[in-house]
Amino acid sequence: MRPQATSSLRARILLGALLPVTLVALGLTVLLLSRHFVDLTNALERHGEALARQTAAGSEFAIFAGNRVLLATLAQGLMRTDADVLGVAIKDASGVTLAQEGDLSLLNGAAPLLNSQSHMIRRHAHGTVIAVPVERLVLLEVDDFYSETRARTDPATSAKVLGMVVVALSHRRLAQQREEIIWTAAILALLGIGLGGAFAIALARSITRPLLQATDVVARIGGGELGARMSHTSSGPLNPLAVGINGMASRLDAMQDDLRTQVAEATAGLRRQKETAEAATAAKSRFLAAASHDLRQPLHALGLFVSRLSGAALRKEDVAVVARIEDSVASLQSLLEDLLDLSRLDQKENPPALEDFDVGKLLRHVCRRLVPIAERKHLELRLRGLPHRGQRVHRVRSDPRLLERVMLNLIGNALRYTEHGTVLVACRRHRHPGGGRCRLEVWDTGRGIPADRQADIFEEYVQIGNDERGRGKGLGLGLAICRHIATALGTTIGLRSTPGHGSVFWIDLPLGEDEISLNPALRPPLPGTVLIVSEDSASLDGITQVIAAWGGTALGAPGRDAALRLCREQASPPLMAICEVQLAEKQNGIALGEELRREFPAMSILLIGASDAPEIKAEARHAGFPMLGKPVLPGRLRAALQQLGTGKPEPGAMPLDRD
Amino acid sequence: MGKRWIMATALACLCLMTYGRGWAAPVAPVAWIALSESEGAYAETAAALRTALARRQPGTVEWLVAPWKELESRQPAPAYVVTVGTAAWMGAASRFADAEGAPVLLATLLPRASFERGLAAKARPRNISAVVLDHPATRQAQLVRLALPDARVAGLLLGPESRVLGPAFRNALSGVGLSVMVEDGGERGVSAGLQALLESSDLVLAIPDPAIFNSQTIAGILSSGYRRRIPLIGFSPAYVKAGALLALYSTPQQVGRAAADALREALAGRPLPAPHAPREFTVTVNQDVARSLGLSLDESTLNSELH
Repeated sequence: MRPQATSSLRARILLGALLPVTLVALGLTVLLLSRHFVDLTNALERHGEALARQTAAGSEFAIFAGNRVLLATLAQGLMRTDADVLGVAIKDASGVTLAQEGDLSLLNGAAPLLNSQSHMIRRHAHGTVIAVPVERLVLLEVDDFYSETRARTDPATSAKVLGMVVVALSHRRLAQQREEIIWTAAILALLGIGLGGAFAIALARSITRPLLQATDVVARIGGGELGARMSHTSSGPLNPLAVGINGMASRLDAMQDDLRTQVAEATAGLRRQKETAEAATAAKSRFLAAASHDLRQPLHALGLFVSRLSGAALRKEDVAVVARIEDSVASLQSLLEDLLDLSRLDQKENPPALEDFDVGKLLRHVCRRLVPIAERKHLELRLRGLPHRGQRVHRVRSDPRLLERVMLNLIGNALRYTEHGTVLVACRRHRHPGGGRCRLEVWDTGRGIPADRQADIFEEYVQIGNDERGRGKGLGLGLAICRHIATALGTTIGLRSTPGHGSVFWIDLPLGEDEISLNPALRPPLPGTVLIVSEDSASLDGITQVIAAWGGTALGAPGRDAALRLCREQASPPLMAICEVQLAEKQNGIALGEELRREFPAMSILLIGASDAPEIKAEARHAGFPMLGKPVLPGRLRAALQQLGTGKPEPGAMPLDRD
Repeated sequence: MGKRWIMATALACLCLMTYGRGWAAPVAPVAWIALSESEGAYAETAAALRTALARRQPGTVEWLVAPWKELESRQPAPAYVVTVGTAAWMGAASRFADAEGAPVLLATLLPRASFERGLAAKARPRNISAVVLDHPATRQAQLVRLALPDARVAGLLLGPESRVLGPAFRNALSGVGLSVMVEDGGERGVSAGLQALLESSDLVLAIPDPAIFNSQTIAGILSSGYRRRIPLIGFSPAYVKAGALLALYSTPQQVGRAAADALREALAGRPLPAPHAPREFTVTVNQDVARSLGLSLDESTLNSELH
């Protein structure tokens, strides 16, 4: 950009300075030259005419007297005195040449010129012919009655024209003069233009340099380099500009420093506040965890003692009291569990352990646990959507322990807050971009939740319909815990409710690997062609089939040469390549991967190698290739390819072994 | 008696008055003077003629002087017609020359050639004559001899009209001891003839011929002559002014006086004299040319010595 800007600016200034000078110089030169040429030509012709007239005057008598010698002398004299004269001819009235000197070849074809007997100039390329009539200049009046000549003069002898003098002039000297003047004019014009150009260049330089420097400095300032300044030495006429830019830069710099300082201070302040808050929260959580943990033991002991007490022989009036004590202890325990769970989730002690399991089994288990509560309140608890015997089970990918917690909470809540009717637990699959989902829903016919409370309800310690904060109804942590767990699982939990009719709580779960892998309709297609490089033909075939099952196109190659050849043959090379680290003939998959990456920069490369070789892992990591350890699970391979293809990990997928 | 005497006297007086004039003297004849042009030399000639005639014979003639154009168809024809110049002569000749009872015609102030052209085929009755401008060859030859005593060869440049005069001049010039070179400019061309003439002549005697001597040629003739230092002897004052050495001619007054003399004869009833040049003449010399040629000529001497 800069060189273009330079040349454009300089060119403009040069043009602006040179153009008028050149035009004027050329215009003047042309004008004056043409005028001069005309003048030269005229001068030559006038000169020639003068010579001819002079000769005509002198030859008047000689023609009359027929004195050819005299005429020849006249002609020779003319030739001698003037270098321009090519030739002279003196003719009488009837056209007979009386005297001739020099070269009169120009006269060829000039017969009409001579017969006209009048003054004439004929211009040719190399010369000019001038004809001047020789007239009787001297007229003596002797015609009177003494001889009666007035009445009867012979027209032939009374003609005024005695003859013609023809002079041929050469243009050679004229041409020489012209050439001279052209050269002179050209040199002068060039000098003038050169001078003008030199001035223009100096001017341009004194303007372009500071302008370019200004452009550069401004660009640097714009790019963040606020220390850039213009030097004053090269500014010249643009000094104010330089001063202005420097001042602006200094102010910007100072302003930026100020801002930076302010920002730093503010940031420091905020960080301090955040640290304080975090510390407080952490302290709180720790306190909570410690307290809960500390509380657990005595509570456990309490439970044991109470159960022992209930098993002992008691008086009738004491049995009810002990039953109540048992209830209180049970609710204390459950409250404590909730608190512990919450604090544990807060601390993120245990990341969810994802695995594929049968969700129906878990739901049945939870429902079995809660059936007594339902029976006690005369509510119906139903399960729906689970496959019957003989059908394929629903497998989801999630943490079963956490999910159990969630379902316990949701179904427990539903039972707790429904007075009569049914609590329905449903499980159904549905499509979802990025893979299928399994939605678990808990329907109840309870009071319902008004719309303005539906967001609050997931907050901690929020209970609806428990304004008196009856201890029997928990701390209001259940839904908060469910939400935490949902977040940790990377999924969503939601609520729909109609006050007076009931509510439904739902949670989405990703389907298990096998589920997805066995149901290609739920999967997004595998993009493009995949190259597979493996010396093991069985492994090659296996991966090829799997990829085909996923909707992709596989190209298999046993080694490096075949792989490169296949890629080059394709109209568009494959976007992904799966390459074994160990190839035949001691070829290195990593090196091949690098070669492929060089030749086909759009290609993503996945390595497969023995996972127990740390040096290979290190090498792959160093080369920047993801590597899957053998044996390769189809699910993992799928996820890895998906991630490579789109660059985004699949939902719920493990990150690749890239370390 | 007294009454009749008075009546007779009155009658006699009356008769006398009526016819007395005629009885008292003879009737003066009418004479026209026809001019070629109303001004200039022609009028001078006419005036001189009348003056000369009136001096000797006053009241002799009743004059009518007018340009010929006015007199051309005038009636009755007069007894005498005098023409001045060629044009008037031509007109009068064509009107009167053949007629019966033609007036006496006297042509004046014209060259002999013109006079003879006017007569042409007509007869030559006794009452037509002219006073011509051409002087006799002898007189001219004598003039040459007087003016240029050292000249030996005289050159003549003749033309179609002056050709006929060649022999006369040749004789006259030989008579004064000059040999003669004659060139015909009409055939050879003026300049050629002149060049040839100038080769061998000591002088050139100009004899009027419009083809040879005119305004166009004179400059060349004079220049040629001047270059060779050969003088030209002209026939009119204009030639002298132009550069001829000298000229012999008669002025209009001299012509007029000569015409008066001729007319007197006619008035006396005698026949007109034959066409002749005037008795009086003038010789004019161009002193500058004379000086250039190294000659010293005195006009008065020449005038007096020539006859």
